[in-house]
Amino acid sequence: MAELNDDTVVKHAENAVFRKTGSEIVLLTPEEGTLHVLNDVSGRIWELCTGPASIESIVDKITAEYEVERERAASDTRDTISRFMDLGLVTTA
Amino acid sequence: MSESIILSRLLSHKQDEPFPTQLNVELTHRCNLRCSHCYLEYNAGRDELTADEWVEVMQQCLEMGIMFIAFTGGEAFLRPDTLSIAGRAKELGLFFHFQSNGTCIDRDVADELKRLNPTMVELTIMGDTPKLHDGITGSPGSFEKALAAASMLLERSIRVKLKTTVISGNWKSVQAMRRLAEGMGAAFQPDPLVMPGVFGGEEPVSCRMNDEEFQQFALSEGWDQPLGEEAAAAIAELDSPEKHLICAAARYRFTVTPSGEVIPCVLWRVPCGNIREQSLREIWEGEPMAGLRKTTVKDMPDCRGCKLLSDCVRCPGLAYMESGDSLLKSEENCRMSRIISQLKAENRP
Ligand code: SF4
Ligand code: SF4
Repeated sequence: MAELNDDTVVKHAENAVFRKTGSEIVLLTPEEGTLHVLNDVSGRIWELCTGPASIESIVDKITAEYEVERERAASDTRDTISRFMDLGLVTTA
Repeated sequence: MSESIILSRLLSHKQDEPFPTQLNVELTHRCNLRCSHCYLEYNAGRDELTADEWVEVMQQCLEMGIMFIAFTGGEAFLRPDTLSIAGRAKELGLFFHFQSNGTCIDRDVADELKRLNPTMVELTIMGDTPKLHDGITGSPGSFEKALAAASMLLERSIRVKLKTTVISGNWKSVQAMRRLAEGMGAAFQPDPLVMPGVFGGEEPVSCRMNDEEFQQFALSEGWDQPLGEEAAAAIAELDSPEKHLICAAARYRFTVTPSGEVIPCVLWRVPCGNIREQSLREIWEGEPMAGLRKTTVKDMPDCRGCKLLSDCVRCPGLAYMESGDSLLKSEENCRMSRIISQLKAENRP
């Protein structure tokens, strides 16, 4: 898993393939032909990764928009972005 | 949280039953090249579905849980509305790739494709030099345009695959084409299957490699090599005579032609209905598509019990073109399987 700190700046990978229909976001990893249907929060984190954006700024927005404790938002955001990075869909800017 | 519409569509399929995942969309049969091996015939574009009709088809795809579209032709980019049809596909949330000869992809088209976010663009090349490629396509300058298209797309971080049909005229250049593709950062796929002309033309068949050429090509691709232990074990586990010869057409994929006819595959052109008269779902669930889906090797009188079966990549479309019966053997597949099996036997310690 990728190591992320507050200052890490991330963005969508140049070749990331995804779709947004209504409020739903679906990511594709073409190499395996796998679809990843995102839930509401992951979908918002994905949008915020359009970037370039720092992890800190994304955590700020998630904390405010979902009215959750910052610590919880920070750990969820990092986990989600690490997963996007492992799939090759987000890179550091 | 609201329930995911996409997940519920995807999960609505019955377990253990084939379900459609991809629709091949033949936007047009018009083409600006005249490849000697092409199975389609030049067609002036009569009776093509309009953009609105294609959007309706794609909406029906979504309702069936189909998430992938392959836009193909003819040459798909000869239609002036191809990009806007793809734009509507994107708005609907569909993933898509294109198959093209690359000659119509200029900088503006490449920019628009970047915005449309396709999974891939597959471009056909027929050689590693302008002389070879243009000689086969009958169109001077087509090689340069195809390669320029590939470069522009790759520069925009769009995945590109260079595909070639391997024929008597270009088999010696397959490895050079592979190096060309890999050198650019594109994938490469050679395919030795040459279909007879859909409308009875003999020219495509006369382009095929003869036995000796196919043998050399198969050797250069390493098709005489036994599978690695792991791969062999995996296949042995999956494989059964019932499953071996069954492809994705009519089971996981199907095709709509430019005039709305529904067929199992671009190369398996059994008419199954027309979307101007029936819905996509009705055609998928009705006959003859449902019957084609149920066939197994037990229904194939020539193939069941065939000793070459494990080396055969039987195409039901080819069998249909050759004899009018998808269940019979294909002489061309038999020929290739015989050669591969012979090479393997010679290679055995
Ligand atoms: S084997 Fe033939 S019919 Fe089946 S998917 Fe391949 S080309 Fe189409
Ligand atoms: S080699 Fe011929 S008869 Fe044997 S499985 Fe293939 S198509 Fe059928």
